[in-house]
Amino acid sequence: MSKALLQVSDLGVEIGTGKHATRILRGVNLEIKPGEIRGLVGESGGGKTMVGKAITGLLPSSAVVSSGRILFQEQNLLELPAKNRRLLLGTKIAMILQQPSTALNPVLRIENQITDVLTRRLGYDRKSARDYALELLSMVHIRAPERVLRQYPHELSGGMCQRVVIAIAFAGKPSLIVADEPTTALDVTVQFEILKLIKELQAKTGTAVLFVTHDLGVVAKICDVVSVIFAGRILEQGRTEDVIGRPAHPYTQALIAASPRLDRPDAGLQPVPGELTASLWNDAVASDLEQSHA
Amino acid sequence: MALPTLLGVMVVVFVLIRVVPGDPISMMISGEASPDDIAKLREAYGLDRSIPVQFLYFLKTVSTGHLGTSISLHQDVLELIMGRLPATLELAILALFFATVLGVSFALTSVYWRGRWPEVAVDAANALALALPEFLWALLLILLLSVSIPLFPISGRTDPSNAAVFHTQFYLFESLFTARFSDFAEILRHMFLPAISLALPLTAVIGRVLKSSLLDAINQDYVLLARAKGFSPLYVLLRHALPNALIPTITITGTQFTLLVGGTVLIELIFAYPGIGNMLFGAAINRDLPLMQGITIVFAVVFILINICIDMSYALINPRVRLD
Repeated sequence: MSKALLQVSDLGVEIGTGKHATRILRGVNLEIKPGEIRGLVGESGGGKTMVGKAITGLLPSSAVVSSGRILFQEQNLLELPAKNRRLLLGTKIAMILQQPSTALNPVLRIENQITDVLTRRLGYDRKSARDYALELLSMVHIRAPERVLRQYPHELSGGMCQRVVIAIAFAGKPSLIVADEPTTALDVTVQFEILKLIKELQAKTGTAVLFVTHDLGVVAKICDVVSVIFAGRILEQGRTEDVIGRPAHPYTQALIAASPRLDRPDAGLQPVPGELTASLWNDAVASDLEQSHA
Repeated sequence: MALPTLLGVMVVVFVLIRVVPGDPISMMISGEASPDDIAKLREAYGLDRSIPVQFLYFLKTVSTGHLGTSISLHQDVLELIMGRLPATLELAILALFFATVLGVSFALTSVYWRGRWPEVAVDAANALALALPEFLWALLLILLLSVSIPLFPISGRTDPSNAAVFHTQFYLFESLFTARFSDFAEILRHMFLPAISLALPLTAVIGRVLKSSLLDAINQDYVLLARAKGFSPLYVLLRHALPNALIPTITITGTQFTLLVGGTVLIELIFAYPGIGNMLFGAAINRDLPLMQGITIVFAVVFILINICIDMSYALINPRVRLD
């Protein structure tokens, strides 16, 4: 068994302080080995995005890590000085965001948005940065890279923007990419293309990916291993075919049952029982609901 | 759009200054003039006609590129204005420069150190700058920096003893571009207080609008992505958040800048600064109708030009409105 690239243990995150604190992550354990794609699946509001943000250190200012460790290449990120932690981003850890149309800066040309990370963070000079930017764009299968470099984000489609974001993420040849619902905002055909692209680049570079999504179909297509998160807790994890084929936890079963099926159109849509409401973040209610699923 | 606006301004100004009380002829003659003389003078200036007819005559004059003859100064209005306009423009531009530099630094300071003491300090300074109108700032600054601590001169544009020769009326720009730095410093010292007084309220407006736009921008996805590239907070703020936040700020700065130009009238009066605002005040005292309407129309032209500049700068910074 190879050593973990990233090991999250007992991670707790709270929003607010003192009596009004809401625990949005409680005791999350997660492991990613080098070069594997780990799915993190759950409903909206389940805390899956927060896991990604805690790993990258980009939690909103109102949220604080209250417990746990995040070991990345055997150093605890939570004990690193803020600056050292920031310097891991762009080089060893990268991000892909959900909304490609808003993830790129509307007033900067695509060229500047790719080369700024190359020149400022990865030591390229202007000339070689441009060449590498062109190379990256071809790598994400953008057909007219010269033209795209001169364009602004609003001149590109959502799928194209996401390709640019992916190119930026892979630019520093990172060991880990946190992909936060990278296909959710795209239409289905583009979704498939982007999934294929991420899988292809991941295989080529050997980068590990934490793939955050609510879509089990996407998980089945791309992830080696998957963790199911609910109300800030990991309920079940394992190899993708095991978790989806023989879900052990009732919540996972409900989640699978809720996926629309083309082969059984008469079955209708099955809602996941229970609701993720504010009161759920109260510990008692959360464990009640977990019990009811069990 | 500019021409109809200008025509509208001319109508309003023309009618307004003729229906308010006050007679230019009675201001220019001595007590012994006979009713006959007065009638002759009125006829000479066309003031015996009805207002619509006077307006048509005025339009005819304007179409030949003139604005008439001043009643109190007996000179061509356009020449009078052109002699004074550069001084006012320089003052307004210097004030805009101060307001932009101060306002942008205020906003950046308070966003970069948000939640800490610099934000509180800057917000307090901003509220203070906004609380007083420019003419009160002028009086306050004179008391503080000219009377109590005599750092700055309180009137004029240069020292009367200064023998420097200028080829244009743009003293500040000319001395700067011809590298006559001692003259430049001298003129800047004279313009500092009036420009700062004009700039302070605009500084506060720029500071506030830019701050709220910046706070909005730093919560956007593109800033999150910039942070995920590992850039320093300062670089993210300056390179990724600021250009976006400037878009709404430029719009408001433009409209507020026209108010600033209007504010030059009182400021020039307070500092005895030889611009067209000061001249407008003199024209109003003397009921010099041609001069008043000339200056007002020039102000209108300046306002329209400012708005065109804003539209152009908007397209410059926001690629989404850029025309191909």
